[in-house]
Amino acid sequence: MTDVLTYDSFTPGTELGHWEESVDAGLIATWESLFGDNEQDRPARQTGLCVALMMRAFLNVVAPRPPGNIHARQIMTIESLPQPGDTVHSRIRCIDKEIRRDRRYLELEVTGHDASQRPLYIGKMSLIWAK
Amino acid sequence: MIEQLKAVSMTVSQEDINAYAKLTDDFNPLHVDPAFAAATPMGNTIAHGTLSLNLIWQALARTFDSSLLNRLDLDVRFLKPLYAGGTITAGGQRNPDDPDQYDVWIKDQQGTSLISGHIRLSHTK
Repeated sequence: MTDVLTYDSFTPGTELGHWEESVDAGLIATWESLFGDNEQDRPARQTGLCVALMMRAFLNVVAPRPPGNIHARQIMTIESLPQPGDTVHSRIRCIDKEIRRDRRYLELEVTGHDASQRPLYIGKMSLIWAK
Repeated sequence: MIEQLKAVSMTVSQEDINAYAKLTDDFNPLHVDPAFAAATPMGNTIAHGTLSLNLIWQALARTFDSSLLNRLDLDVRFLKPLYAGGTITAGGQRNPDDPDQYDVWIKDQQGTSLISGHIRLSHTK
């Protein structure tokens, strides 16, 4: 069994891994079950799925995690939206870590591009790590 | 010039949180395990912060041309938790000092900001 990734496991400037996943019918159906399937909301759906793919990349690569981490801040640049059927390639790295007021803050960056290397998104997450 | 985003509201149930956990592969027990969450300072399960962001995307999509979401910059802080069963509203107001930027928020029924930040659109009309 792999050890849980604690705060001490992370080194700023290092790549943590990469993840590849398609914008498939299952993800689209789950999003629409939550937020509806109005035609007008299609761009919102694709943006929401872009964020979901960023989270999936982070959560599948940075594992196992201690329970109880908190997402404190999100910076997101959308450069182009992935479309249904597109495969998104995401890369995750640790860009900073700091202890403030007895809380363990991690800064992780997830970048995504499509199969033709077209940039899709850059997400920067501030997380309060539980252990 | 559009000054305000169209508001979008949602009541977020535990079933919604569970579905969003499936969407993101985020099964943090703070979100999906009431017994675990009850033993933490949160006291109850909370929604994923990025679940609420979807209402901001919908507010933007319903306010502007669809192509505007193809390129944007978002910076938000998750200030307070949204507990299962809570109702939230997304909104936004143009920043008077920067016409391409909107201050955006998610507020609960009491008007308390749960998420706050700004978004920059590349081609705001």
